[in-house]
Amino acid sequence: MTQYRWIYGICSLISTGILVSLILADARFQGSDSLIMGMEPATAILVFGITIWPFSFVGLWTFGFGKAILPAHSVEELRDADQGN
Amino acid sequence: MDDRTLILLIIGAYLLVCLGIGAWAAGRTKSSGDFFIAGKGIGTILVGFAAFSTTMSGFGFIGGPGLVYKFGTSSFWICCPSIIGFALTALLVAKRFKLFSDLFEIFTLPDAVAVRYQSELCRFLTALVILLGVIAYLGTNILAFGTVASTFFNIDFTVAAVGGMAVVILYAVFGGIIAGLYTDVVQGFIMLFASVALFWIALSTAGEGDFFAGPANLTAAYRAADMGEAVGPWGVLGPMACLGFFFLFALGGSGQPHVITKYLMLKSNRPLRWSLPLITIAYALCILLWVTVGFAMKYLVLTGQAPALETGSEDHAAPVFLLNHAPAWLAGIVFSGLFAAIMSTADSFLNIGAAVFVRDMPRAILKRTLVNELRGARIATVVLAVSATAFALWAKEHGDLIAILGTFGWGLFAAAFVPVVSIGFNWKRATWQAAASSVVVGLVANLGLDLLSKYPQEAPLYKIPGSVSIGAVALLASLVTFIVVSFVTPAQKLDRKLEIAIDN
Repeated sequence: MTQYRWIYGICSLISTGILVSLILADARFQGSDSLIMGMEPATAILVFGITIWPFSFVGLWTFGFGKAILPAHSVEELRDADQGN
Repeated sequence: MDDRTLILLIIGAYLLVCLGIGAWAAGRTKSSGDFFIAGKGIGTILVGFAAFSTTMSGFGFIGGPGLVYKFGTSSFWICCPSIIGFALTALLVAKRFKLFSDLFEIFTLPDAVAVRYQSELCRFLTALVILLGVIAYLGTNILAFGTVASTFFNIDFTVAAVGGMAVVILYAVFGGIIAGLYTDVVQGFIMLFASVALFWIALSTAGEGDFFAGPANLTAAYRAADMGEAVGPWGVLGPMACLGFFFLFALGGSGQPHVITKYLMLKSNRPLRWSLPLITIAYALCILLWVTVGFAMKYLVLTGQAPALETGSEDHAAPVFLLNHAPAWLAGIVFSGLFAAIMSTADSFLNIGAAVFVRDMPRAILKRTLVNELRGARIATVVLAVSATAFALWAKEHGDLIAILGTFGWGLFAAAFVPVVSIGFNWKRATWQAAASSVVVGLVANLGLDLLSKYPQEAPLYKIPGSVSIGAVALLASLVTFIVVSFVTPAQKLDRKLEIAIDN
């Protein structure tokens, strides 16, 4: 379980890094300029931040599924319940 | 071969593939379990593509670019948070539905609600809301299909709408959800290709041939026209409206019955695990069309390269851009993608709507099942599709009615089902009284606020400040109702299997 919290933490850090780098990149320009891709800084954060951020959870779900989402003891308990034990 | 013939051939081929899948699936549909939940045997690809393609719908392909054209980045707050919605849906609903369907016989959302709350009243209310929502969603999708097809083929609107629904009826009646799922895969691939290709063309158009210059040119054109706020983070509608969208679309995804019922069909835990990355990546690619085509069309208007769309015709942004700025072969594929988006949603709604008639209502009201659910489901599908088409055509003549129907879509399902499903299936303290009252509050708040904001037409009685969407307010009201009523009513005694399904 702990290692998957690490994975989640790393994914979140990557997402945060993307946001921070956008802000830092924006600092290279004067106030009225746009980012390299042509969007206003806050718009870029909206587009990339909100879209990319949930992928840290997707990473946890996919790679930590058997430990953090549906661990073996849960599967076992469900199987027992299904068989009426 | 001229361009128009090529486009028609591609669209014709796509429709034939859908019919072929329907014929193939008919042979595999032998029971109501096959018809409604595909025999509980679907894998990663099917659930992944079905979930994202039914979510995208005609609204995403036509309405989305129209909203960007009209309101700028405000509409990004609808499509971008939907990805958070998929993640929340996986955590709060998908896993629970898989566990519940492993332990109980569940074919539909009302089945699941009845099992969780041990209440036939909750089953009835859930089925009622689904029925209202299905008629609304089907109506808006039929109108979208008719609008696009009649514009493109230059034929009568009624002929276009009826023709499109005839294809959906044929494959949905005989092939049930199996046909719906496999056509969703085809439709999903078409939508993905169409979105990515059109994204490239849209930004290249705005960049005057240079893809990477597109966003900068767009921003400059908007600023030059003194419309800079449209490309700012909140767009034309402002922060309150955008945060309302964020709340409604990040949380509301977990209450959409046509999407979440797909998780009742999983054959194992493997598709539960791998479908989430598939759905989120596919959806993220698909919204590329949403966020760029409306802007590209506006850029052409602002720079004098195209005439402005008439007020009220903003939904034509995508079709007009496509016909004038994409190569014919791509236009054919993208138009197929438009039809695919509409049809993939329509077939899912026909399926859950048919279930209301032949499974949910008989159980809730008569306390019994139909003798032959499969035959009943096929008849109900035809009746529902024909009724919805007739109603949509009639409602087309009554603009207000369509506007009211429009609110009975995402917002209604979110307000009625998010508390009941997303919270209730994860919280043992939730009670049947809370579930029933929050569904009623969600329904009444949606309809009531919409009527108050429209009538009387000269001076509406009440409008929500800040352009906050009605669905967001209704969702908040139903969430509060659900939590408060759960605490003030006696806790329900749950049997052991229910406790295990909620605890794990």
